[in-house]
Amino acid sequence: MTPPTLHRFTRVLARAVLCALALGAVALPAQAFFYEPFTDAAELRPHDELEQRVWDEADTLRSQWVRGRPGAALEAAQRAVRASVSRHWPELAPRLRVFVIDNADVLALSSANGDVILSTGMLMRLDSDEELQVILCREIAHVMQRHAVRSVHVARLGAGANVIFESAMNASSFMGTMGALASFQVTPDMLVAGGKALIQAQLGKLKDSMADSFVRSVSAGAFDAMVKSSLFGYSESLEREADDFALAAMRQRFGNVQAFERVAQRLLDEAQADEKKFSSFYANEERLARRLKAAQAHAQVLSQASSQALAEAPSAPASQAEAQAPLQPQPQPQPAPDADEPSVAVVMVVATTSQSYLQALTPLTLRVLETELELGRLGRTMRNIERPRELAPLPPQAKAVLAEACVARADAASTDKGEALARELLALQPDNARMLKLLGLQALKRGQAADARQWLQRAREHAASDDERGFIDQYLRRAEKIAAAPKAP
Amino acid sequence: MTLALRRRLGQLTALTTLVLACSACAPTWQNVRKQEAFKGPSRAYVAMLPEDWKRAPTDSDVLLITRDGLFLQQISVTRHRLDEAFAGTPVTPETLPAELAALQFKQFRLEEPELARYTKDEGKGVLALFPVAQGKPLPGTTERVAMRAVQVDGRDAFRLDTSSRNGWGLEYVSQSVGFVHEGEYWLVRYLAPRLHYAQRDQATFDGFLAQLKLKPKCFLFCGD
Repeated sequence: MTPPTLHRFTRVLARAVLCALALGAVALPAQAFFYEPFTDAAELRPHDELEQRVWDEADTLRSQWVRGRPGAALEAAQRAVRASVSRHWPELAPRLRVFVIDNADVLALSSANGDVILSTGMLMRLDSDEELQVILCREIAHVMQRHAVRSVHVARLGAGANVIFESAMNASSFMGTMGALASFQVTPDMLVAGGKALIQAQLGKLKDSMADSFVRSVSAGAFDAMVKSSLFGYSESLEREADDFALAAMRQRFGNVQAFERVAQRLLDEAQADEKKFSSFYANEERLARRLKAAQAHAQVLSQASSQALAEAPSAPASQAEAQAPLQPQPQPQPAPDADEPSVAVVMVVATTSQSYLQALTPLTLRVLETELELGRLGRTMRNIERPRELAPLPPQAKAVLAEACVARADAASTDKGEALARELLALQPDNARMLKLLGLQALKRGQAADARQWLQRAREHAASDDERGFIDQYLRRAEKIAAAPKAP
Repeated sequence: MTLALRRRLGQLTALTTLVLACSACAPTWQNVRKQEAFKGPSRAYVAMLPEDWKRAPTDSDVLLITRDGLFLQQISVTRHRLDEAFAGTPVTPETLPAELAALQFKQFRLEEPELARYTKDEGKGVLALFPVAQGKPLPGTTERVAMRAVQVDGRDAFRLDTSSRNGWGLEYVSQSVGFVHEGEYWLVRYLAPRLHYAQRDQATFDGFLAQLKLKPKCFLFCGD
C-alpha cells in the first residue's frame, strides 16, 4: 500500500467513525423518552429490566436509612404521616412505604419503588398537614414520574457516550499511528513485518478500553452510585417537574399554593441563616430559591386565572401545569374555583388532620433542636425556635436550647440575650440545672470565680445524672484554680 | 533510538522507581509478643501495649494498635496542635473538657479519620462491591451514646461513647477520651464492631487507659 492510498484509507475510515458517532448521538438520547410517567397507582411497579434493577437497589438502600423498629414517639409520627398520605392519596397509599427517620437534617427522599422517607428535622419545619402535603406531593411526584429510573437511564446513556468517546479517541490514536507510518514512508514490507504487531496492539488496546468502559459503566458499584445520585440529587429539570406536580396538587386540594410558598420561604430563610451548610436538597439556598420562585409564579398565574374566571368563564382550567398533571389527585372537599382562600370544609379537614400530626410531632421537636445545637447550626436553631408558630408551639424546654444557642454564638449581643433568657427561665424554675450551669460557665469564662462557684454548686445540687455532676466538678475545680491564682496588679 | 522506544524506557524507569519506593515505605505491622511500654519520640506519654496485639509502625507520637486487624478492634492515640484540632474553632489549654467533647462529637459526625488505604482499583468491577471506604464507620451515622467527665493520669478529660455504622450496615462502637496535654489536644480512641469484637476487647482498652501515663515532653537528649 503506497502512502497516498494509506491516506485515502485513513480519511475514509475517519469519516465512517464520525458518521457512526453522529448516528449514536442521535439514537441514544431518543431512548430517554421511553419512560413516561406512571399513569395511575396500579402502574407503580417495575416495567423493564432497568426498572427492576433500580427497584432492587432501592430496597437495599432503604436499610441504610431505616434501621430497626422506631421508638414510640417516632412510630407515632410515622403513623400520623402515613394517615395523612392515606387521606390525600387513598389509591396510591398502599403502594407507598412512608418512613419517618430520627435525623435532624432537613431530609425528604423517595425511591423508585415507592419508598418515601422524611426526617424528623423536616417534619418539625412543617407546621400543618397542609405543609406536610407540600413535601409529600413533591416526593410522590418523583415516584410517579419515574425520576429515579430516568436519572439512572440518563447516567447510563452518559456511560455509553463515554464508551463511544473513548473508542473514538483510541480510533483517532490508531489513525494517528497509521498517518505517522505513512509520513515516515513505511514500505508495505515493513508494515507486514513490524506494523502487523503494532496494528494488533492498537486494536487490542481499543478492545480492552471498550470492554473496560463497558464493565465500569454497568458494574454494581457504578450502578449503585447512579441510583444513589438519582436519590440524592435529581436534575433541576426533574425537580421542576416535581414542583409543577406538587403545585397543581396543592391547588386542587387546598385551593391555593400558599403552603408551598410558606414552606419554601421558611426553608430558604433557615438555609440562609445557617453557618454550617449541609448537602441536602432542602438545605440548598439556590435550589430553594428556585422552588420559591416557581411557587410565586404559580400563585401569580392562579391569581390571574381566577380574576379572568370571575370576569369570564368559571370553568376554565386554573393553570397549564394543573391541566397537564399526569396523576389526578384524589377527590377532596373542593374549594370554590374563583377564590384564593380555601372553603370552610377544607379548613376543617386541614385543622383536624393537622392536630393529630402536630400532636405526634411535639415529642420529637426538642431532640431535633438539641441535635442542631450540638452540630453547631446555631443560626438555624435560633431561627427555628424564634419563628412564629401559631399551630405548632414548641415545648417549654426549647427556650433553654435557645439560651444555649445564643451563648454559643459568642458575640456580645447574643451572649447577653442568652444570659437574660437563662435568668428568665430561672425565675420561673429556680432549680433548672441546665440554666444554672450555663450561667456558672459564663461567669467562669469571665474569670468571676466566686459567681461561678455559686451557680455551679447550685447546678450540681439539681443535676439529673452523675455524668452531668462529673463535668460540673471539673468546672468547679477550674473555678477554684482561678480563685487561687494570684491576681494581676 | 525511536521516540516510542525512548518513551517506553522512560515509563519503565519511572515504574521501577515507584515500585522500589513503595516497597521501601511499605509498612510492616510489629507484633507485641509480651506486654511492653511504648513511648513516642517526644516521650509525652507512656502506653502499655497489650500482649498479642500488633502495632502499626509509626515514627511519631501517633499510636495505632490492633489485635485481629483494623476495623475489627483498634486503639489509637493521636495528637493535634490546638489551633488545628478542630477546624474553625480555636481551642486553648483552658478549654473545658465538656467543650472539647462537644467539638469532638461534631467532628466525628463530619468525618472519620482515614486509617486505611484506598486504591483506585477498588472502584472497578467486583471490587467495587467491597471498597475499604465502605468498611469504616460512616460519619453521618454517628450517634452519641454517653458523655462523661473522667481523668487520665490525674488530668481532667472527657469520655465520649458513640455508635455508628459502616457502608454495609455493621454497627461500630467507639470510646474516645480527649484532653489537653503539653499544649496539644490528645485523643485516645477504641473502635470496634459491636458484633463480637467490641465487648471481647473492652477490658483490654480499659486496662490500656488505666495504665496510660502522661509525661512532660522531651525536646533534646530524649534517652530512656
